[in-house]
Amino acid sequence: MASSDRAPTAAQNQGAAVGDWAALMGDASRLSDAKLLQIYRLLDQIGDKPEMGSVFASLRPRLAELRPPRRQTAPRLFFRPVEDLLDDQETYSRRLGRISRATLTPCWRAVKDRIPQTIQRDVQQTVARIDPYDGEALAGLCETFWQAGAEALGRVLAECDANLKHKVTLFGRDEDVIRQLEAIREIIAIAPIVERLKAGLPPRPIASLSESHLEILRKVLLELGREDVRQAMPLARVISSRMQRPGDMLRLLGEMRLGGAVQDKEAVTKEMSGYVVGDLLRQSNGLAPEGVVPNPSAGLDHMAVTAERLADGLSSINDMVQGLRDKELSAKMQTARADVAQFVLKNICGTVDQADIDAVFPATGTPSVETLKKAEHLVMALRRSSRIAGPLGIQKEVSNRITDIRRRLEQQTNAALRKIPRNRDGTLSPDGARHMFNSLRLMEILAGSEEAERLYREWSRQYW
Amino acid sequence: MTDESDIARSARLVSNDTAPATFQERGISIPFTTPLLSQARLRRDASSRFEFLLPNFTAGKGIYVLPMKGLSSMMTLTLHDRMLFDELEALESHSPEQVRSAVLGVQATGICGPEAAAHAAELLDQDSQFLVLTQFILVTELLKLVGIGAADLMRPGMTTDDSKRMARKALAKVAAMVGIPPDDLAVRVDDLGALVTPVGLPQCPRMGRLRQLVQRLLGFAEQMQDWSQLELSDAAPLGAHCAAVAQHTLGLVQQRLSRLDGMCQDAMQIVHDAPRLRGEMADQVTRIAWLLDGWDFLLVLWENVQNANSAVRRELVGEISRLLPAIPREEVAPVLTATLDIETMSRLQRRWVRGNQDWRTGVLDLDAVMRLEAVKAAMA
Repeated sequence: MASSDRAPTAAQNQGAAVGDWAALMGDASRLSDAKLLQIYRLLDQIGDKPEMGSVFASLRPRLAELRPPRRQTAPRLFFRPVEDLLDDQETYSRRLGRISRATLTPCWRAVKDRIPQTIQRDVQQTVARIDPYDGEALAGLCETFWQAGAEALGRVLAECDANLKHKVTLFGRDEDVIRQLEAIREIIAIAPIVERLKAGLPPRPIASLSESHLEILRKVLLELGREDVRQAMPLARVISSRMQRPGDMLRLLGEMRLGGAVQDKEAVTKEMSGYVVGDLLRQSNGLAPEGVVPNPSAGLDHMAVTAERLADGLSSINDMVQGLRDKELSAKMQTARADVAQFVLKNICGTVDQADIDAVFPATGTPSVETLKKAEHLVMALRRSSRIAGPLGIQKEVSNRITDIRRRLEQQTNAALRKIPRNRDGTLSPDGARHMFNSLRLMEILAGSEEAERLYREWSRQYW
Repeated sequence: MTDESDIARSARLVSNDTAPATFQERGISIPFTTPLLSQARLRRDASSRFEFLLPNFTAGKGIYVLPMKGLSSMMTLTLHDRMLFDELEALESHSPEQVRSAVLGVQATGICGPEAAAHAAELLDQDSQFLVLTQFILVTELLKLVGIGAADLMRPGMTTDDSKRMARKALAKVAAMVGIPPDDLAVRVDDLGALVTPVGLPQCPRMGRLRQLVQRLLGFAEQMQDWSQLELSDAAPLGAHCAAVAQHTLGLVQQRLSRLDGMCQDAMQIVHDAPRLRGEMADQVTRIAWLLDGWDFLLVLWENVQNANSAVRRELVGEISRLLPAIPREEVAPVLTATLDIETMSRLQRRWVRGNQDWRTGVLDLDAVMRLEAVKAAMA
């Protein structure tokens, strides 16, 4: 019998199955929330198998929004404190201070037998009884587990350092993996502090901090970095990764009196700035040129929010990077800014079409709530783009697009208000009024309240 | 564009150490969509001009008092708020109920989004349906006096005209018992029904809007009490304070509800004594509306974070504690026993409340506007 006729092997079967899942997940954006969660629950039973990595990666952006309850397995609990530093294997870049998800499986394999089974069992049983989002409670329950895990990982790293063959067997020859493991160990060692702090701060992305938040943050950073500024850096990396304006963290660190020599502090500031710029660069790289969107189903406004967040992050670190006079860092900043600008031009300005505005004016009757919401999202995306256009150097292009859309909206409204039959007493009919206010709403989002009020007065005078 | 000093120049910063003397001094909370004006309270100054009371937008101590005229030069206002100003200025008098009607009218145009518009239209429709129901209940109560029940009017084989004729005859008998012309009785029924509609009659199978709000406030007070007992941070006293103010408000509302329900128990009496009772009933309904004014917004905020994490809830408790509707001195003596002294409360509020983002520039934060519009789309 020819080899092609043979029955497929188990490995081939598994590969085909994963291929099917991956194909299905390629269409994840089209699945309803309920269906997606149903599939996720099935996949979750299989567990974090390496071959399922890409399948989970395609689900992750929507799961991050839907936040379904997850089975609290031992490895999930173990790596929870580093989750803000994790990148998918496909998007991971070296030398950015981040951690590839591909490193987690070999890491867990190396430490799991060194953490006493009783501790693992106890922690899983207890955690199942609490709210999985209660970071404060989790920090208390997992303290021993993380402590044992950090010590175990420390021993593994020491053995790797002493025995090259052992290192290659466990993690391969890539030195970057060892750097990632060291980063994991540093954070797991302070995991209860990290989780308690995360629970005390606003959820990510953190847009701004209140006085109490800053006080908590300062206190924790001071405690960790009193002796040596370097001790506070793992925590600073985690928290800055959760911030919309990570430059605020750099500024906070600059204002604090942490321990250590002056040159150490300068080096650490530079290192932290490098991390923050690198992180933003990584995210902006992911945007252009294909326009990878965290959640395509959320549409244009979601893309604009992402661009706005990155532009905001870049502007927050601008002064700090300029102050460092580091050509390489400055060049990276420029690249990141250009990537975001390109993304906005191509995926937002280039996508919003006059036809989207025309949809708000159906041939008969008034538009549905869904049509109006869609139009709102489109003009909101343009408005967001205009807010960040200046710092990104694309003011003219964005402004031209907005003018086109605005003109179309005005033309269509005038045409509709002229065409719609009026009440017997000559006043504007309810349908006419609805059209007028729908347009005013879109105009307000697009061009601001002053312009919307001007048109309100003008249209009221003309058509009311 | 403006900055804080512009606003500070045009506004007076007044102390909020003591409770307002009257409801009129406290002002009516208005669900504006301009974030800086959110939940600003409207009142008239000594010269009868409109002014707004703003919780300090820097999360500091005190309340800013801003004249209505010239407000648009101090900050960028949404078109919704500009239109609402026009409507408020056109109102002859300003009670929470009249202001609510004006608010819903503007909201129903669609200027603050299609969902808020649909919700406003639904609420206006519910209001008119409830008015009909209240008047119907009042009529059926009166018909009982002459031995006719709702079932008698809907006997098999009866046409609508038969039912109407029967009801008219029966009501004429009631009018004769009270000693007034039948037409006057109809006017009294319409008038008293409209008056009591926001609260609803105790005999009504469905609760009136303000009674429903009381139930939600009751739930809020209990949840806030539980939350403050379990909360470990220093936001806990703010939660306890919110619960105490809610409980105190509920106590006062319940007293007034009991009095109102007592008056409404006897249909004969309310129709007979309408000229005398009308004023008393109006007073009770108005004071219930004033006592509950401002709570709906806070309840929606709280209901929206039921599944949020502890940090979000903690922050919101700080925000709610700043916006609590103060109980005026005229309504209660002695004034609510303070659960926290004013200094401690201000200090805690500053710690847990993030200052408004846009006061420095006066530029509209559209995301914040849309969050407020979403709250409007859930308010009763």
